Amino acid sequence: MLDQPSHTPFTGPLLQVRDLTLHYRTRQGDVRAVDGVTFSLGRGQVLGLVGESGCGKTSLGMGLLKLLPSNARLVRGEIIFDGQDLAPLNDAQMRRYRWRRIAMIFQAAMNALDPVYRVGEQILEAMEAHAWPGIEDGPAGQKRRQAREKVKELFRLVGLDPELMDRYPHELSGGMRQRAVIAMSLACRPDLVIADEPTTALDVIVQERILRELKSIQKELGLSLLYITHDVAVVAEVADQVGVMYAGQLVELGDTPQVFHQPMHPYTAGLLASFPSIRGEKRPLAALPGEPPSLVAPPSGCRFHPRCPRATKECRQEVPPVVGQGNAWAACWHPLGAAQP
Amino acid sequence: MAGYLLRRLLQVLVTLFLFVTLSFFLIQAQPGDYSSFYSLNPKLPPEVQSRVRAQFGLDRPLGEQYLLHLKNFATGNFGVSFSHYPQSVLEVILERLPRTAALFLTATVVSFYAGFFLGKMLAWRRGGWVEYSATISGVALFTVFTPWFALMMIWLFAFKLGWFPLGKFLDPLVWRNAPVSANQVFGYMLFTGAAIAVILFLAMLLLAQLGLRRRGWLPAAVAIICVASAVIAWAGSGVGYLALDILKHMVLPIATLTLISFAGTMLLTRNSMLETLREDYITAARAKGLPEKVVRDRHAARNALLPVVTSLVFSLAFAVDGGVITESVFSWPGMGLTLLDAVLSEDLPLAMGALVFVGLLALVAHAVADVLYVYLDPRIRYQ
Repeated sequence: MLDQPSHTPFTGPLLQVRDLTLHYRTRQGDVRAVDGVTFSLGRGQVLGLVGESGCGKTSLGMGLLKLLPSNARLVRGEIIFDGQDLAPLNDAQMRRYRWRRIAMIFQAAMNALDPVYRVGEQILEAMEAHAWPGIEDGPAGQKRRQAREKVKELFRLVGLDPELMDRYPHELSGGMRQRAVIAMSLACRPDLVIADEPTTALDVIVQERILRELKSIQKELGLSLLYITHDVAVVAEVADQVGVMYAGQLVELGDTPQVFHQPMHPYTAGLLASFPSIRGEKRPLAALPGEPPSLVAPPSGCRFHPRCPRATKECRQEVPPVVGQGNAWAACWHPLGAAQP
Repeated sequence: MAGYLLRRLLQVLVTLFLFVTLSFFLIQAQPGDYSSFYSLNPKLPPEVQSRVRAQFGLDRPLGEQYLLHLKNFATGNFGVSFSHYPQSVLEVILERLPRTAALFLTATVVSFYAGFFLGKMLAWRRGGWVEYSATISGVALFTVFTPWFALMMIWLFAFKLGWFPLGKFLDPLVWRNAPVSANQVFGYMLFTGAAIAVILFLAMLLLAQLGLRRRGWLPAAVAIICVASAVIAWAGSGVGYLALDILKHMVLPIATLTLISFAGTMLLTRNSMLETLREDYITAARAKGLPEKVVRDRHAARNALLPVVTSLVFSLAFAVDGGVITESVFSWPGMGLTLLDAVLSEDLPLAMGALVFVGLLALVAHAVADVLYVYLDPRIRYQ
């Protein structure tokens, strides 16, 4: 089977993000896509990141690998990965972390394959760029042959016929391409995989199957997984912990069962209420009123206040305090479960 | 693949047949015929005129004439040129076709490489004065009136600076006591060029096979060795000065053609590349930790190439028109000038022959480009 991720002396959490702030410069002004996000992710853990479209969750994911468009700017914050802060690193230094330590499964992952090269070739290319991780040293041709075997093994792991590695992307179905992209993300034996809406473009049945497989692979390899999605149901299925993002900020973080059964932030509650539950009780769906705010000029105080049923004067004026402790908290003036003012 | 090539060849033949047929009836639709060159002479008595017509077979029914025409073309019999008598049309064309081919092939290859490289770099490093000035001069060159631009080139580099000859294929003074004919020398020059191209291509294949292509200086070294040995061989042959004379005459027309056509390639590549850079697979390539150069060349430029090759195929047809203009401005005795002269001097057999060969050239170029495209884009099936 595949080897376990390489171990290093550092024993803290694999990933610690502190006060991460990313802005995009646009003609309308700075878009504060990610604003003061802090969380940590332990080894072998799955953190789900949920939020509406445009809440900055994709920017956050790309920001961790520092793969942002040229108008983006890392304003402040730390990305401590395995004891090393990635924030000040330049592109050449980042390259050593990309894919080798932190891999990614993209949003619309089906387009993540270059149409003019064979699928297997694109996986081998990543392995070659990182000096063939997990392949015994030897002549170039021999390493390549071994790497091909490794890719075949990965294809079997994600439920693909190994013969498909010599096909072009357009010869594969959407689900197959998705699996190939998952196989690609595992090729360099990363410690952390960032999955950004990896199943959104697929039909529900394929989505469900791939999700289960991803979860079992994650457990089997002991990977850490940052799962970014707008789909609350998916997070409930895969994540150990859930972070809820709103308007560029993390508003609630906690263990999955706790967040789902006793949400503290009114936004989390609203998000949960707007999704149908198959097994739970029958209830009318409650869409959140209003629109997500502009990230150029976000609302003052608590950014959720214009849409919040519990909003008061202090919500409009003052930044909300963090209630709760450690890895279970919410940033809210009037958290649920506390007395209504 | 073999089936595809065969089908494509069949297509070329069918198109050629249609082209020959069409050109035959076009000539018929015009006043006068092949004999007009002789028979319109008022000094000829009517019986001689009709004898001339009969000699050309122009007294036979149209259908029979057409079949005869087809038969002659199929057997490579294009008749005798009136203006180059006693040379046959085929002789004239075989002498001039290589000259045009050398001019256009060189200009196309150089402008394609230069345009593609510059366009790629412009898209990769956006912004700044380099991009603006390159884009503006690109648009200027792309839209410039060709004859005017060619004349300006001659005025500046041949007349004012005197670096290159004013035009024509060679300098008669240099060739006065030449031991060999210009066609022989030119033939050997073409052979040298082709040999260098083939050796370079094979060397690249070999280097790729050995996995040494990444070392940038190796292909350059091979190229330098090839060119240097060719120059030494020519210098030792005793007729190197003649080749140099032809070469000097080639520089200005090739430079003009290259400048005019590289701009289109550059602008298109830039746009195509900017679009490609937004694709998810480019972000994926970056995320994989590939070096910037690999992301740029292996992924972005490789995909940006596809629409550029398509446009190249279309521009090949226009190269033929451009040939007439460029060749007449530079007095370059190639197919374009031959066609023009033949039409002006009512040399119908030569005009027909030149027309058919120009058409054949365009057809072959298209077929080659199509095959190339199938090779470049795996999404296109051999159909």
